[in-house]
Amino acid sequence: MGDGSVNDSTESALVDESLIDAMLALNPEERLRQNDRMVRTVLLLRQGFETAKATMKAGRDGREP
Amino acid sequence: MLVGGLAAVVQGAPITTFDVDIVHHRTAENVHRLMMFLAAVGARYRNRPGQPLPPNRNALMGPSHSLFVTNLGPLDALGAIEGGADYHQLLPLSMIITVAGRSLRVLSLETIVAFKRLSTDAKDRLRLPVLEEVLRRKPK
Repeated sequence: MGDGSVNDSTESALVDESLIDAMLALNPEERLRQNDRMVRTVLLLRQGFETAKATMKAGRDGREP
Repeated sequence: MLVGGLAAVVQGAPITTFDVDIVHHRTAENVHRLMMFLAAVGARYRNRPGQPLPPNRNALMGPSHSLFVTNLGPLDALGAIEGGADYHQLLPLSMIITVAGRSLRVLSLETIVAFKRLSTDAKDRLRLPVLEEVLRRKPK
């Protein structure tokens, strides 16, 4: 593992080593803040996805969302 | 003691986790303190239909898992984890990390990885390569 090529094993394809190095460069507090930011982003994306789904459904039903 | 995904995050794992997993010391005094904290953050059992159920002292004194939702987010208070390991057994496998000027006891990444290697949970298997790579790259 570890030359970064796309032909690495399937397992290493799951691992972005640059992300690991970036995270290891942070202190514990910054790592927790990074997790919080990601959680907020994921929740925002989920919310956006739900809104888009509702809008599309409303469009199909011929009414305003 | 912080265990699970957030413990791995604190030690440098680039994963995202939504809940906080702790293994608590199951003494009457500590469970009392935990109950006070849980009340302060509005903890109630999650995935339970009907009226919100407040934390139960007897459940927290036992080895089972108490899964809460709180005003700050999901929190799992685990009496014991893999293989029945409780706070006492995990203590030598943990370390103190300073976060925002406070001491936080965290299960070591080495132990987290060892547990995940034995896990059959799909989410654990998916995260394992990342955690193993963090272990390899982490300064000793």
